[in-house]
Amino acid sequence: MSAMKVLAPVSSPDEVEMLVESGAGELYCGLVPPDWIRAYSGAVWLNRRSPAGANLSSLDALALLVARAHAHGVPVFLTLNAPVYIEQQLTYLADLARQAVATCGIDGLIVSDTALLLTLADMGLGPRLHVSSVASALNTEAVRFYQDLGVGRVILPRGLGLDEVGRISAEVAGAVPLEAFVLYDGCAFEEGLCHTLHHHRVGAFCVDLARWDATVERTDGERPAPAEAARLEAHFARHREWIWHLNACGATVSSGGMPLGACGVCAMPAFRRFGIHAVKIAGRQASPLRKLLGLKLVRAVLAHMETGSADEDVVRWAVRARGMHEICASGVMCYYRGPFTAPRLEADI
Amino acid sequence: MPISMPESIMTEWALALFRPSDLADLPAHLRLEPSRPGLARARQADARAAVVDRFGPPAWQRLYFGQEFCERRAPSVSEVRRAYSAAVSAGLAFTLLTSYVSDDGVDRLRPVLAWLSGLEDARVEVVANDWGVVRVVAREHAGLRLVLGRLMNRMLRDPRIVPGLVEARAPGDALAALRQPSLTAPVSRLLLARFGIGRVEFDNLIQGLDTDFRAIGLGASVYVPYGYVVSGRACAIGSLNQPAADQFHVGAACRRECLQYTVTRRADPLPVAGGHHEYLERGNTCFYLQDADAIGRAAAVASRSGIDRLVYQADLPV
Repeated sequence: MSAMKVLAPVSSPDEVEMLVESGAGELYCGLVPPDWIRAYSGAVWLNRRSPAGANLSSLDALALLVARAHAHGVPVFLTLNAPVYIEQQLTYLADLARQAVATCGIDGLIVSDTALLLTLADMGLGPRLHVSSVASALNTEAVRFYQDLGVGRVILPRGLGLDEVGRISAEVAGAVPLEAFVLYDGCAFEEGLCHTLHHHRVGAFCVDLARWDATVERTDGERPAPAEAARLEAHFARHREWIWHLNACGATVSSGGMPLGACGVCAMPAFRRFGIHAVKIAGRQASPLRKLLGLKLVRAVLAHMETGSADEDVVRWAVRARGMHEICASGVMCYYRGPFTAPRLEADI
Repeated sequence: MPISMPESIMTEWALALFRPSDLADLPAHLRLEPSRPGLARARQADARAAVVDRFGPPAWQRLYFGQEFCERRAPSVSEVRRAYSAAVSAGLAFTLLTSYVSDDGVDRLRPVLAWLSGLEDARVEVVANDWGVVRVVAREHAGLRLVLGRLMNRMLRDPRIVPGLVEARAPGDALAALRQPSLTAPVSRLLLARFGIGRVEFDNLIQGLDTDFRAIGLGASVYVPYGYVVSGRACAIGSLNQPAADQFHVGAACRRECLQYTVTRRADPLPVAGGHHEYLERGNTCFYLQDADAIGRAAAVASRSGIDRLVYQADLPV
């Protein structure tokens, strides 16, 4: 069984050494050239992250970043994963992808939109294409759909349970490598079915939605009785808490200094058994410190797995390393809940 | 002001029902009689008036039945059989709505597809909202007509922002980029043709839709009066009756609380002017309601773009 790769986000050439020396086996980044901004403003994103903060702005910077990573034998992937592109953008992006590969040495392209996938596959880039989680490949047949297009990897969406990841992995049986999220940036909805802009001026729709004034109506037209209304209000308060936890817990850290937010590190033993090729840390826009600490956590769990510990022991160790037993036990910060994740082992912790 | 619709453009009306219990009321739905009490009833009445005003009296030709948003609510074979019979009795063609699905969802869908396929009714359609479903239908039931559903069109539809962008005439090519799908690009059309897909479906997008479907030989549908903003597998209301440690995740059990409750969310003032202020949440999905002006814009877009089918949702589609 080959070791799982750890895929880390990077947003500057200056972060490469830090991330590679801390164990990143693969890196991914974004690029938004100035001519894109001039054409489309900040309202139409080239990839899934805001142009400001999360992206490089020139091919020169991309080439430098890739050269630094390649010096350590680490591949770099470029995100071209907006949910949709129009016809004239496909021409622009095909040229950008060609330069990113031929001139900058990019090893893979993370793509969601089917039209762009087809365009790049027609250019002979199929094996370099990684299907983004934004494409919502939620079942084996969807993974095979992308496999039929000749892609080199499929990134499984966050909206899958651990057992579902296991079934897809078993049925795909390594025919196309699979990647799964393990840290940061949870989504309250299915990422590919969220058609909102996470612009800093308006923020995430799920966060807004949860705090807006809510009126609950019964389908029979009756207003909820007082006790029922109170129960519903308490329920939606818990829902707001859940969304807060998915969204980095208000950018807080654990008592041990570990950044909080959506997490699936205790699913890593299961992912190894499933044959998942790579585990992904989200958050290109995050600070270098947040990236570094997240990477160190994931690497530490992987190192513990490599000592030959039983899966259950790795899970307990991961929960201790996370440093927030109560939150782990509650499940509110979990990407995946299942027989190998912390809530099921609450009694043992 | 009413926008006139040339008869030759909008040729087909489809009624969309999402619950087996709605089938008993099919005649009332075909008369566009509001079926829900309370706030929902008022919304239905307003929507009906706007649709009839802008599109003319209904000329029903097709019944849509099923679920686009939740695989747990996908109808069984017996429910689809009832729906198909109801459609045939009313002189309507039948379209099955399907959702985005996990592997379990695909398992549940297969016998339904097999039953529909066995009918050998050339007018039966399956609306697919998942490439996995597209693949299953195309490979296992080639006789069924595939339609690419509105969830497959990933265009921005953030009602907080898009009205402001339209109002402000967003700079450069931004607005044009927001008004075009990628599904109609030549490379996409080859893919659609490979799967035998001759129709694509859209929400009534706030920013409009700028594509000439006639010119590219694709059928196109528009859904009124509800458009979806976000959907996901972790259902907020579906966790209502679960223990706290087992809420808000994709595997959480539910008691179909979506059949009991609708949540209306009212937005705080936003930094971008012109955004929607009211959102309707049922089950795992949040919707925007199209007012009379928005439905009027749908009529104009349909006329201009060659959209040839109107899908009227009798209720929120969850």
